[in-house]
Amino acid sequence: MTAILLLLALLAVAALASHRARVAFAVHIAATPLLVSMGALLSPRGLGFILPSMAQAMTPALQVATTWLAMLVGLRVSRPSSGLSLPLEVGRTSALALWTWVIAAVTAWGGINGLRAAGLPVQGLDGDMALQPVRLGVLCAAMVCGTGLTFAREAVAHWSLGPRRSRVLFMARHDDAVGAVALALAVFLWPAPETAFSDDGRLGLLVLITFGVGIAVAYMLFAGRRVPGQSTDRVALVGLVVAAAGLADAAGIPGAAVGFLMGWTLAGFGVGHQLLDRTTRATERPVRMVVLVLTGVHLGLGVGAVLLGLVLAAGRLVAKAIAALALSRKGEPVPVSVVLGSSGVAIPMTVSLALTRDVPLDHSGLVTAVVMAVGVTDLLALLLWRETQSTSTTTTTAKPVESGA
Amino acid sequence: MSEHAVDTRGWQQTFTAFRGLAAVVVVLGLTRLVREQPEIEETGPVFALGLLLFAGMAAGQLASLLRLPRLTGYLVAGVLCGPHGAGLLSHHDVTSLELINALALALIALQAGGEFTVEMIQRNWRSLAWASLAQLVVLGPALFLAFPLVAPRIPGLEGLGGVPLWAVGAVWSAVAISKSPAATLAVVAETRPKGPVTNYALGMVVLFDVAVLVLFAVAMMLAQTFLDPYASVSLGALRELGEALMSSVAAGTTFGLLIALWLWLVARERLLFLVTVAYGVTAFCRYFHYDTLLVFVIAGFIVQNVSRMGHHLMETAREASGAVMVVFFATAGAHLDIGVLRNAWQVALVLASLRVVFTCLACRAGHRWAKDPEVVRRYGHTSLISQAGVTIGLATVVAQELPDVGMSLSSLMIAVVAINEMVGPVVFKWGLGRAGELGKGEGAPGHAAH
Repeated sequence: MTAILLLLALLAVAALASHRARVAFAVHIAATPLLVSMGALLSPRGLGFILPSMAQAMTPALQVATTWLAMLVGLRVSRPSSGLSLPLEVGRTSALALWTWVIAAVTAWGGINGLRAAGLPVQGLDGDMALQPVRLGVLCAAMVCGTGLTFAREAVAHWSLGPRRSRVLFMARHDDAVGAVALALAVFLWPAPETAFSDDGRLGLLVLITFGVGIAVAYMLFAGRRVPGQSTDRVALVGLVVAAAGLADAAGIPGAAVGFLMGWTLAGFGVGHQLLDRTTRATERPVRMVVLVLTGVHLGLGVGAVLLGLVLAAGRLVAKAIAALALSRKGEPVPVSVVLGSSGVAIPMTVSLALTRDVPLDHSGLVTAVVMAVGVTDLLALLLWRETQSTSTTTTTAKPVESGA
Repeated sequence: MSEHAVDTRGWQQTFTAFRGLAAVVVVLGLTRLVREQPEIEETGPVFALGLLLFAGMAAGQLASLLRLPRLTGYLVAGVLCGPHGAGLLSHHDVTSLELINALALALIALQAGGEFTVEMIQRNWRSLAWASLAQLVVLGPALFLAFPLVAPRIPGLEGLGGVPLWAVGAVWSAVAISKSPAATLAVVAETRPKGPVTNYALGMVVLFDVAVLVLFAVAMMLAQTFLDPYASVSLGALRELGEALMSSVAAGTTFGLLIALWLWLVARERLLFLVTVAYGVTAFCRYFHYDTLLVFVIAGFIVQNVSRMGHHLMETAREASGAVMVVFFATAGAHLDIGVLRNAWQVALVLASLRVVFTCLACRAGHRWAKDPEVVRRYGHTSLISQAGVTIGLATVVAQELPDVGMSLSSLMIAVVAINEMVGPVVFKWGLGRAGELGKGEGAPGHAAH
């Protein structure tokens, strides 16, 4: 009975989340902060509609959802369109990601120390000093995941960028991937004594790669050369992703990292991965909405973590603004809002990491800081986008766009 | 099509099926990697769900190649992966998938109710009424009378005699006459048939479910009375059952009308709505002890016959039940205790064979009384062999509520279900094929919508 009530609560969350777009635009708020706030409102700490035991029991759903989202991000990795050089574009995307990482690291370091000096330590980030660089690495990797593909695509449709149209789209597709790889690597520097493969980070990484590639190979064997998108293949893919999430959880490896590797392998070697990407893309938005709301349910709003999130958001804004400048040419500026918006991958990846390491989310300053930073930058991205839209003379009649979810 | 082309297609299908098996082997290899770690005791329900879904799909693909129902593949996958097979999944893992089963049962019953239209009932009521009567007066008594002949060979029931033996026989026959709406609907969903045999099958398995519930309650009451020397006969249980059944009909009608109202006013996000209704109504039924299956069947019937949008909801239910059915039947397979079948296979085989023979005889009598068309006379019985979830549920009640003999009788019932569950869908698909009804229904390839 309790399990059914739990599912009903989850469905209510999905139903509420499905109406978020209209609400978000009505109150001029980006979807990510709205959905997280909705979760926080429903949570035991908010109005209490979701009981603490229910919130706890929802974590398997969260694990599966984050694995699925990461698989979709991996699936999106593809070669640049003709006219662009692959090494050059990958190098450019990685350089900008590295740049964001460095700026985020500097601000995070400054923020944590400043808050500690002010007597506002960040919950979960004030413990073992040996782990601080690792946790900082995770925070900064989460800041790298950024440009929302939908946002970028819509923005490109609004401002004809000429030859750089393909470049911005390529970056939009891939800086999520760079962030996901960075997060996956950072995980193995965060020891967790109670898990199976934790005594040796390299062994854990090897197991992660084996899982990601192995599950992808299983799907490729099952689907063969069939045209992707058939219902049997879709069900098999869902089964494999769920199994991967379960296996990863049992092995103490982040499911999101396994999912990402699986998607990446499918993108590289699968038959018709672009068609598979198109057929599964429709699931991305509802799954992400549920993840964001569930993250909100688990979130603990410590003052230190919230302030650190604001500091990170400022750092991210600076880093992305400079990135946009680097992409611009004379007479063809790239608006900051195009690269600032978040695809929402940062939050699921960080949540997956925290769940893997058995960190209760409500005690995780790391997750709170990342959620705050992403939420604030999403909000800024939407405001900047609206501002640019109102001043732009080349604005078309295209529908307004949401950042994030 | 040339012979060479047919050959090539056959090889391709074989290759596809074996590729699916190879994919399962890869997943099992990864599972082994994890399970070999001493710190890991079990892989958990999330993995169980994923494995059953994927292995079920692969086994279903192989079954389809062998011209068997996909459902047989799902069951075999469940048996092999389950705690009684290779032991990849624990009892706890399989039990924790109960939520998926609740959704599956709701979708199955809703679709079963949606298959009935007022026009169809008007056309078939005579056939269904005579068929139900024949099952009650021929099959039930025949199984009841045959039970004492087999009972001395059933482990745990050897010493039983006299009135208690007859009482246990009554419980056995009440459970043995039950059918499987889930298996029938799964075969219908896969093969999309249309015709008199399909109508007969759907009508019988759904309507007969209600009769079985009443008979089972009566038989259990008698058995508890005669097996326990201190118990006294009370008709209170029957009154409670009557109230529960009437309340279930009322609740089903109310929910059906509410769903129809929603379809009229909103009709968006149908999948989300359907899943919410499935779980919400299930929780409601459990709280008030209503018959969930009956409530959903009535609700499906009302929606289909009251709302113009009813068929849209049924189509959504059909689409949603694809993956859910795989998990439902794979879980049913995982629950099957093959060890019990191994120990008592001779007795189980005799009882299952008797059930098949008497089912055919009862069908023959029913068809004659109802003056059914020739095709129904020939192949109608093929739909009444399957047994699955309902029967397993009744067997569980027997194990819990009958002192001393409950466990033995329940194990025997599950062994018989294992045989019927494997054989029934295959025979039904064969019957539909022989009746020429395969692939003629809505949604089948080549079917023109009217």
